Amino acid sequence: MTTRSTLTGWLLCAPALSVLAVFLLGPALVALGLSFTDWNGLSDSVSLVGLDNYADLAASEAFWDSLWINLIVAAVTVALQMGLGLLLASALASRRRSSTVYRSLIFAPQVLSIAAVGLIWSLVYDPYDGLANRVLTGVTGLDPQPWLGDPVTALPAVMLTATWFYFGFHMVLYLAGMSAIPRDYYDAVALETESRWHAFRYITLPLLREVLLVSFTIIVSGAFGHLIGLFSLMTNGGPAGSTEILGLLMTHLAFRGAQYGLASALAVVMVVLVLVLIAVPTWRIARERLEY
Amino acid sequence: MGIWRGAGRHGLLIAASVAAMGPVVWILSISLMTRREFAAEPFSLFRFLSLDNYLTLIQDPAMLGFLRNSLVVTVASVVIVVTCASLAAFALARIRFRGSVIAYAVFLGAQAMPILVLIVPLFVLVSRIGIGDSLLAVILPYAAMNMGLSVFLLRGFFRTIPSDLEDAARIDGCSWLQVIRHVMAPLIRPGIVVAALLNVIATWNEYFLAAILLPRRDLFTLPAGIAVEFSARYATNWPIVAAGVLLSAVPTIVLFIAAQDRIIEGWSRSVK
Repeated sequence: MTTRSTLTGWLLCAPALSVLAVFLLGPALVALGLSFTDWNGLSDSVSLVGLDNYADLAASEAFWDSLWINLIVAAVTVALQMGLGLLLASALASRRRSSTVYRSLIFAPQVLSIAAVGLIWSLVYDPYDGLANRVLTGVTGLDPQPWLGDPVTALPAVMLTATWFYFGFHMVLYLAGMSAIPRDYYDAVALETESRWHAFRYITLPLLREVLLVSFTIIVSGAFGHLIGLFSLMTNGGPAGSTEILGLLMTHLAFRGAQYGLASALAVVMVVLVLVLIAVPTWRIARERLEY
Repeated sequence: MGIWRGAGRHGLLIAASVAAMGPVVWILSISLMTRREFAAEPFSLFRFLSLDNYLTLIQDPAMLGFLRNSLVVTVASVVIVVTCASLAAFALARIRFRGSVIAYAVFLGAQAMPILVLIVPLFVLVSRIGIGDSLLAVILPYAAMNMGLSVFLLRGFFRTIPSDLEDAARIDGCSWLQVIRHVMAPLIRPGIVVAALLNVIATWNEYFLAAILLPRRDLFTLPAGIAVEFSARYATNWPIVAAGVLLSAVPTIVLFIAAQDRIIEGWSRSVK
């Protein structure tokens, strides 16, 4: 490690790092700074309010409701996407022919935008002309539901949409991980037992650990990030606040309530929350990759 | 036993395929209906085949404006990301330098942190540094959004190339930049293509940042335009919204059909 190669290394990283410094670290610092103020987004007069915004958040019912909703979204989308992804990847991995057709069909929704997905599923859930009610009444004979219009069904409906959009992506990640596992391992287990579950539990799962950690971090950070767009389009937090995830609460505080200080404090809380939730898996991935 | 297991597996995969494609096929069918046909028979698949909604949209000046904005934003952002990420990925894959672990950790953190969490402060920042009134308001944040993933993807490609070649070039007196241009670039072209493909799809499809950060409707990209303007303007006309949704996805659908193996491979590699 000469001085010269150190200089070259950092110089080559500099353009990429500066983009990140301005547009990722920058807003994080702006959020931190504004979170100690009462800025309303317009006026030039700003006063420092110390930790008042954080105290206000901690005392507000809306914050705790949103946090709770968001944690449910994270837990449910992790369970559904990883569960479905593993199930389908296992079904695909053990068959050679025809599997690419299934893979393509299941993965295909990935090329749509969140906007397209939100609009498509708003129509699916339409109380009058929607596919969801058509299937519900046709198959089960139950009464049609208002779906996105009912506080009880709105959150599950959007979570189902998110799962529909992303499970194929995670399936493909697992497939790639599974294809890297040597066949011999399975042959060795086959000598011992016929149980497929056994092979899955003691070979597939442990050897997929790194892929599963990556997939977990993507879904969790998505629950606080990407999904804001989907929720904003399908329910925008309603009905009756039943789908107001933290990101929507933040935008509503700022853009409707002109409470930029409070919204910034919430942004800081969200950054910390995401970091806490993904710290352990990220650290383990980094260590495993750099140790060879 | 084996037959039933196979049948069960097929059944599962068919069910998943139908679930994945069903809503899209239905939307395609609706996009070919008139408003009246939709009101009467929303579920009769492909009974009506009219291209009127598409013809209306491609003659709509607003739609053409969104299309132009999407093209500018995507090309600019992808060029920035792929250039910057290639340089950084080369350094991380090939040069042993002091502090490389820190740089690696920064890119890993950037990849993990969803930029939407910072949408409000980003909105403040973008308007304060004087790019809030142009397409740069999203071009640069998109570059930041895609940087971490692109660095890892390209680093993976750089690592698969034998280092003898660049050693030889270095011994012959080439600088690192010359090594990148003349030795590495041709070898990692497939990697660059994959990185560009993934970035094009991610950038073309981004919706929420565009809807928040772009100050005027005439700067909107397609997803923001379709979601905000069209769904308001054609609030009760689902067939034309359906056509808009599919029309805006045409470029990514074409890319997927043309290069799906590369796209899927890239996505699988980018997380490694």
